[in-house]
Amino acid sequence: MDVYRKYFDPQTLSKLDGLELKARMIVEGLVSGLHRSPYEGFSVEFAEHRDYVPGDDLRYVDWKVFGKTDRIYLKQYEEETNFACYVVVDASESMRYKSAGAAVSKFEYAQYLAAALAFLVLRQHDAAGLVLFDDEIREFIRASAQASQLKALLRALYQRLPAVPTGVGVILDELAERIRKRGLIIIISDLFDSVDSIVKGLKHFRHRRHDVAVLQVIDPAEEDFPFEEPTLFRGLEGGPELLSEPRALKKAYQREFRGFLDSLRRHCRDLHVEHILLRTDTPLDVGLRTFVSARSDRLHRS
Amino acid sequence: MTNSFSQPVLAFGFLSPWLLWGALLAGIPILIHLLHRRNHREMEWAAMRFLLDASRKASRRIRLERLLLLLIRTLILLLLALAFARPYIESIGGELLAHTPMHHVIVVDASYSMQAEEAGVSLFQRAQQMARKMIENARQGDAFHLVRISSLPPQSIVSRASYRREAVLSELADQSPTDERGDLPTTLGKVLQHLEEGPAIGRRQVTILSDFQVGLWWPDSTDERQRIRDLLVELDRQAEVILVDLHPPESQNLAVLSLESTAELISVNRPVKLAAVVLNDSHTARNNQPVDLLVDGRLAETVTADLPAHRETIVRFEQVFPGSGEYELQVRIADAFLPRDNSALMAAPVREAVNVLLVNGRPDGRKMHQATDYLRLALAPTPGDERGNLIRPTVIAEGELPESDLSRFDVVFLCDVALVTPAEGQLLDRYVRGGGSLIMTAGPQLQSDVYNRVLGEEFDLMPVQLGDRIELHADNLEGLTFDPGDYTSPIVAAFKGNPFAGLTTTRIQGYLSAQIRESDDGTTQVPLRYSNGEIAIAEKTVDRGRSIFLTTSVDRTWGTWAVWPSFVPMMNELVLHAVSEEWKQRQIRVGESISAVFPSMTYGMPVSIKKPDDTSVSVPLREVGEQTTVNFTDTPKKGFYRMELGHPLNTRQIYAVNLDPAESRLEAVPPTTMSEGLLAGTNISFRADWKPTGEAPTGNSAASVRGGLSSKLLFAVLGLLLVEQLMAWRFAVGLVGLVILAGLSAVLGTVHSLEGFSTGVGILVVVGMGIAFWTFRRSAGRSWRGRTGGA
Repeated sequence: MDVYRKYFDPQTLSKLDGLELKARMIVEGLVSGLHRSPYEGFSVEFAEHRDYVPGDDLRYVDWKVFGKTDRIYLKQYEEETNFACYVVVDASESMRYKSAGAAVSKFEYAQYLAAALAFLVLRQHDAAGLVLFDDEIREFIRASAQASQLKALLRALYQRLPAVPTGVGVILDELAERIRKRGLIIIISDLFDSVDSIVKGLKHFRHRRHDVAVLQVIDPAEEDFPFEEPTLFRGLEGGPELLSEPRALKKAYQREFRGFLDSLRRHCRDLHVEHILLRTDTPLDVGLRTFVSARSDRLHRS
Repeated sequence: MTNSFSQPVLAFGFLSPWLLWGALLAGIPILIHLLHRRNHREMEWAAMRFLLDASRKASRRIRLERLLLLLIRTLILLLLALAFARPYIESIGGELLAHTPMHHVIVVDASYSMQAEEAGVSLFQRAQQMARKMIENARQGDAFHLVRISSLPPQSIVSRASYRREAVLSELADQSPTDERGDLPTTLGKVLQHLEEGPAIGRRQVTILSDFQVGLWWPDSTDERQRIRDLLVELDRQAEVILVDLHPPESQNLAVLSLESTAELISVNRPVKLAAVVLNDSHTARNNQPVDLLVDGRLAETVTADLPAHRETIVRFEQVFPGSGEYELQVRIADAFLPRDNSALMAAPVREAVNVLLVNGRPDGRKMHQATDYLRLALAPTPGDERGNLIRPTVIAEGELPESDLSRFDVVFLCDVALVTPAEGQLLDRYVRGGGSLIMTAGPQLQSDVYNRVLGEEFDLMPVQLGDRIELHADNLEGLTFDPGDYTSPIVAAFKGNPFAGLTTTRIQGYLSAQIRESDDGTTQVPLRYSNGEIAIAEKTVDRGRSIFLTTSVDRTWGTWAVWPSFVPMMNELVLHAVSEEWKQRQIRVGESISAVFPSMTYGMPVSIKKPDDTSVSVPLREVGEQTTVNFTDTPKKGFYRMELGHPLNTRQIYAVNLDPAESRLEAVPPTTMSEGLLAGTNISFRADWKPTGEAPTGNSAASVRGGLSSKLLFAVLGLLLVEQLMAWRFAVGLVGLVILAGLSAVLGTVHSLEGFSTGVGILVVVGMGIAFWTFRRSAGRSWRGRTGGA
């Protein structure tokens, strides 16, 4: 386990190439550490055939039909599980922030998390979908339990998106409208938006009876504010500039920041939304374990 | 009677004002602050809205904190610069501020007038007591120079600034008043020198303790007065100057100012008239005041005199000396006010005879035809009776002169000597310059050009330049007469009011025309002229001796003067005048040197001088040319100085050393004259209200006292440095530190009796901190209310 643990460190992971490998490592390490998977016991049943298109997984080619008709069809299975998981990842400009001491940016951290969660879900034959957004929804992959889903998700996560400002609340609102089927919505974002707007979006999800979990990713510097020298802070997402002495501002800033987090946490609790704060220096398995444990507790409670 | 010079009630100044340039350093924190703001790093930041909110809410407090910190940093450097510039605050009386070391120059008047007594205590003792109090009252680190007003060096008693009070006090205690007159310009010059060379410490104060006699401080000469004023102005520029007037309210001094003889020569068994000048320097006349004459310490005569107030009175004595030798005369008067000037001294060398050498230039076998015959007869009317004649002439022929020992003679006459060789000229030159008197008389043989060349040009002994021989025709029975002018010369003074002596009726038939030499330096005098205005007698002082030229003959070749009544007294007066300097040279004043010349053969002769305190010192002889001289300068005390001359002279000479009579007049310069004259336009304090039991002019008197602030400022800098560090770490902690510092300074100020200053500073700082704290609280409260309201 220690060997795995070493790789859960975001700093170590950042050196590896290939999101799939990273996600696999995270999850295998995690699962091997769990006594029991909360998602075991799923099965699938044949539904219909459809024409083969290049790129489809050859494992699902119905060779019998091919032998009879000389045409290539793929077997499609009907989902038997009710569980569909959407990983909603904030890809806005503020997520690109990486402080000097951090190994990865918040977005990179979110990528790992999203990949690992997708891997985890798909591994247990549940459907996993992905939403990538900034000020609008950039990518929307419907939840699916197909084996090719992981690749599709990872490909979407890998794509380079332009750095634009975010609007978390509005996007959540929009998404709640779009994802009609009940499921688990995992929002990975720094949530740097107005609390009211975010809460409104979350409420919308809850109204649709979605199970919502918020993984709030922040950079350690955003919480610790460790700066000493006079600094000109240039706001990402087109924010104003501020020249200040960080030492003098530190307390006030931290007070504001904590106030924001507390407010968010309080509202999440009120809405029965899982809220987990993750710093990018937190080992990913710890983050995932926290999330999984929280989910497990929640399931047992319900 | 304090002179009301403008003294600031509170004055602020710097002892090293050039170091105030260091205050520019105070701009450094501001500069750093500005540069710091320019040199910042840039950073992208995601959580901008929280930073903006924090900045908006905390900016006021942060600005205040930064401002206060900047203020403290600036203050630290400013105070540091101020401390190095050594500020002082000067105040009058009351609470004194901080202290910086002081350089004291204490000047004590040691002239003999300071020996005047009042209630059994002399002015000098009062000055000493006062100086002692000043030194004892001085603080640690004060430096001292001790100077005395005197005419003889050393004026500086403690000439290098001393920090050891005990040593200075010891030097002060060892001082005694002198018999000298004060030399104010020299003394003030010394004080200036000490101020310039003195230590580079704090403040400088010059305190002059004197009786402020008119003669010393307000001399008659305008130039001298201006010189003293210039020096005082310069002193005032460099230091705080306090003049402490110690003069007694009323002078009651009686003084014998001088004692002189009216006779040219004091000789055995001849009545000598003595005149003493007695001064009554008081407001009341003293009648029937006994005045004593003492000869060799024994009372010889007492004269009762009436002495009018503020007047000088001449008291006359007559004394006969039974034998030759050195006599010590003293005239004294009883007075307890200033005992030192109660007597005047006179050394009287009494001669039995005056030896005169007559050089005959015209030998002749006939009676009364030689050039010296009439002269010898005139000087010694009773040949053979040596005892009866005061003047004892010896006649030699012209050719014997080079072989003669002139040192045995008081006067040498050259009577119608035709030629003087260079060798003879050298002999005569040595004789005259050693103190002898040479009298040359003219005659038909005398060759003017030789005299002019040899004795005039070569040896500078001639008082006149000789010209042609003027002989009146025998038929001109009227001839020429003498014109003594106003009889001011001692040679002719005896003829004044005595027409029967026949000076003005003397008939002269021939003479040598003579003019004062062009090279004359003003020492040549003409006591007697002819009626046509030509020079009859010319006299010149040559070093210690004198040279006299008589332009007519002393026999009957050029007239009948030799048989005229005026001839005998004139010749005697000439001789007596020629030797008159002898006793006058024995009378000197304190500080002047005793000098004597002896023949060259006495080189190696032991010479010692017995001083008034009966101590003897051996005096070295110095050989100057052909003569041996003694020069003794150690005459600081009034009294008789007895010079003992060993083999081969085996004799002694007595010198009377008297006080300068100017110091006997005790009148002080009036305060108005001081303030409007000497001290006009200066800040010099002139005080006369000191009492022996009072305080020294330092301390809480009206004299200003200055206090330095440097050390206090440095402590403040230290405290502020600590506060700055605390504030940089935790502002609130630093604020508490600042309040504690203010409180401590107030407490320490109270402990060290600096209430005024420290309380002021303490209150200022506390009020400042209160305002800052109040603003801080207000700002924090608003921010808190804003937050809760928002929630």
